[in-house]
Amino acid sequence: MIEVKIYKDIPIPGRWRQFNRQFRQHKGAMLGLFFLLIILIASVFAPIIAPYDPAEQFPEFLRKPPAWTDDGNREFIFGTDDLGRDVFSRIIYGSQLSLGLSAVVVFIAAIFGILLGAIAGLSRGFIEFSILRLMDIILAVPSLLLAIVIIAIIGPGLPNAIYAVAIVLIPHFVRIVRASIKEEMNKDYVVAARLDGANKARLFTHSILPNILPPLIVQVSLAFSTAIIDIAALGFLGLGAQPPNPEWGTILSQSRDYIQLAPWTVTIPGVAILITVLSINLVGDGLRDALDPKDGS
Amino acid sequence: MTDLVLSVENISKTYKYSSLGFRQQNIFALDNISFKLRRGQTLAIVGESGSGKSTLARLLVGCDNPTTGKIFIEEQDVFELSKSDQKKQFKKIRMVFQNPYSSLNPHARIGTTLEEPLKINTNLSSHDRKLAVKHALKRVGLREEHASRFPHMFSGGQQQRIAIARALILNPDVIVADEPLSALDVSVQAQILNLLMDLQEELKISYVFISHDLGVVEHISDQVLVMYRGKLMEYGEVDQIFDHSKHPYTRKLLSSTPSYRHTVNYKFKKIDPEFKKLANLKSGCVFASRCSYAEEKCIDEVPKTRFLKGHRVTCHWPRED
Amino acid sequence: MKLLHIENLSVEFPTHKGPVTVLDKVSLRMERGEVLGIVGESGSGKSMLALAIMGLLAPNASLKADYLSLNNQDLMKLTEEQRKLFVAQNASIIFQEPQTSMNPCFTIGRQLMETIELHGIRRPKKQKQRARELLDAVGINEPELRLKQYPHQLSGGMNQRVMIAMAIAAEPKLLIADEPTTALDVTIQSQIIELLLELNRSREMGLMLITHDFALMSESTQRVCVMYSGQIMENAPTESILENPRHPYSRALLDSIPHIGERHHMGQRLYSLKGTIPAIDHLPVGCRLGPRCPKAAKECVKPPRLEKIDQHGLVRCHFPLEKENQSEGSSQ
Repeated sequence: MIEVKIYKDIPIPGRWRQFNRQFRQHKGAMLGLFFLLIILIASVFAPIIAPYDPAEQFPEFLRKPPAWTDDGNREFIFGTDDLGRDVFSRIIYGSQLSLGLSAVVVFIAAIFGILLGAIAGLSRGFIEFSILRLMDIILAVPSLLLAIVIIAIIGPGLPNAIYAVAIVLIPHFVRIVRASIKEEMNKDYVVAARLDGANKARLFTHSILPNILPPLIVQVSLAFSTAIIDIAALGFLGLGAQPPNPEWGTILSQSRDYIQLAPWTVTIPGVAILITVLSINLVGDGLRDALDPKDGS
Repeated sequence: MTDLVLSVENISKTYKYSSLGFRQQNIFALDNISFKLRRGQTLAIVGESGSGKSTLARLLVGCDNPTTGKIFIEEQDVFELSKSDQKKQFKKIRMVFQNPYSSLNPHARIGTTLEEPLKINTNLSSHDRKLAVKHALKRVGLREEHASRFPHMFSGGQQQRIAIARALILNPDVIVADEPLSALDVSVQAQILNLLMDLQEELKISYVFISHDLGVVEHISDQVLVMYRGKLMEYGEVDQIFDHSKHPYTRKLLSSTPSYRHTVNYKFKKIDPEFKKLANLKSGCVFASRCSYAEEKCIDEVPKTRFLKGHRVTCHWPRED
Repeated sequence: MKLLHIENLSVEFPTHKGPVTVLDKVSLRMERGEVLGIVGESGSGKSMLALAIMGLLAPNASLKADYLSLNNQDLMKLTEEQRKLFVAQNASIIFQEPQTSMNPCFTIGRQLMETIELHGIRRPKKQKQRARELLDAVGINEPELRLKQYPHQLSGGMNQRVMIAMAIAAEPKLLIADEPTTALDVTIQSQIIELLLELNRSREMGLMLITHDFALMSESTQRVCVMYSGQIMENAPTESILENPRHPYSRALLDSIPHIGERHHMGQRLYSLKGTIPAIDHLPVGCRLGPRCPKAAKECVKPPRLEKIDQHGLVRCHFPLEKENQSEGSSQ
């Protein structure tokens, strides 16, 4: 027998490479990612990018239209609001609040959701039943309405808005985690890990969790866009971030009175919310397609 | 160290089944199975789908508890032990699954998967564990550097090798292999079969080899246990089962397998459809409705397992040659 | 009269790395009423061949052939529509998993009668009559009851019989059985094979039996084609392949199965090929068996041609095995 070197080993792409290729093929997701990155950079480097402080007033430039209109001033790209504050700077600083708060909200919701979902998925009987029914109750009320009810109980304000939106988002995580655990539990590799002697907690963290990450990541992206909308909505209703705060929903509600005098003060934060949510959803879509467990054997 | 590594006495497994809470019924997945397995020997369990082979495998590795009956591992009744000792005792029996890909965690590197049982069950140092993993990989014919790869980067045959390495890593006495070849390609099956036999001779492991392929069973086993619908039909040494089978079901299996048909030449009468219907209604011998030797007694009375010249046969009319 | 005549049939699939050839210039012939076996492992292209003959390939596949005739009609010269109709009238196929090939929402009777209607019987009464006949022909008792049942109410073997009944509804000249018994229990397997051979004899229906199990071939087929990685490796009468395989791959397939009456002794091992089947988009240079072949030599980096060996058949190998006198493994 001869050892021939021309027979090469077959290169099999790793999971990350496969995911990367699939994601790149999704044009919408790439576009979404592009916008999301811009927004992210804007929020991180807000003090550098924004020309003025969000609270700084220019009394001589009240309700200045955006720069591209005839009456516009090049110093205020998106114009100024009724108090003479630069809309562009406020939007940039607002993105910090919107993205940052949503991230906190999703983080809290995911932690509690995964924990409760894991408990429900790994146990049987009363504990599972009570967790699930509690989640059903939360899901039965429209999410924004529930957030309003919670705020009505614990009082308005930014921290309370975070708690309220997080609570509203928890059930989705619980359901996904529990359903995935129930599905994975009967698979051979979990049985094999059980035979290795792993207890339930270890089974969850070492075997099951890595394998249910794809649906979880998709859920995180969905929750993220819901969180942005809900926080903006609470701000708009005056239940979340309070006025001088440049939170997008709050800006909207404040400028609502001047919608005819200064339409840009309403349109621009609205468009900001729209673009952010849209791009997150596009990225989420791409993630779902790329993480779809069609690969494997 | 005793010679008798695994002995099972009269184990049964029943599942309770009820429709809408009414009429609770017991379903016998396993009914009164007994066998003994010596060190370095192979017991093959043969049967069609629904015969309870896989249920038996789950009981043997401690994945499930039998409803009644005893399991002795190295002559120690495991159900007399405390829970933690029982777990420890069951670690001497390890399992290899039918589908190698699904039995490996797709998101864990091979090394991690192989190390896991050591981490949980031993207090070896990280260095010693890594060494043991390397050793196990070499033993099943893989290379050290394979430890850092993921399961999907291997072919089916290699995946099954990894699954075997995982079973080996705790130095078990017995490996329960549930149809370990049927998910593999024909040209790879022989590799795995050879590997199993190499390991047996080297390490004196015993196998409980579950299979539907009589050719493979004849090749690898020392004893054969034939099951049908959860019941033991025939149990004996491989020569006895293949050359002097006494149970009609064993004969039927042998004569249905293409390569055996010419050598065994058993004759079967056609079964009367009326009789078949009757047999399905009454609770006699489970095989009566498909048995071409069945008579009145078979549908009225459950046959007892009896001992006949090195066989155990559950039949009213065991065949003579 | 030729039933099936294929010359240089190739099938390609586009992938993101360029086209991949899953069937490479396959040629074979079948006479009327012949039983031909196609043996191969997964990925050998044996199922692809069946689908290509039936015109059931995925729409993105491209099929090329010098000649592809069924029942003396060149299929390559027909339009898509004509071809569909002609194949439906002259050939049928059954698959491995009977349960998944049937619609679980409809009764056996309805599905069977639908097939019968496609073949030109319009009156419901006659359809039912024909359905009963067909079920009778495939050995299902109480056809009246079965017609009213749903697929899940029948056993796997029974469902496969129903599939066969549907397949022979049009009185095809060719029946392709793609792993018809792999999903079934042993005792049922032999019944299904017997039924297929029965139908082959009584209706003069050509049978193409596709399987990975050489033992199944041994007693049912007249010729055997051994396929590997999309190519035919050996094509010869069953007896001569079983007694004297000339291609190392056929030999390996035969010897890797334990022989009857062979109980293991200390140190005795089965013959086995090393390695595994190459992925179809990473084929080795030259002979596709090359990296696994025990007889591989320098010439094997050049692709071998399918060549005739006297008193045997066609073999694709630079170094075909010699005829052996001592019978290997004491095969009967």
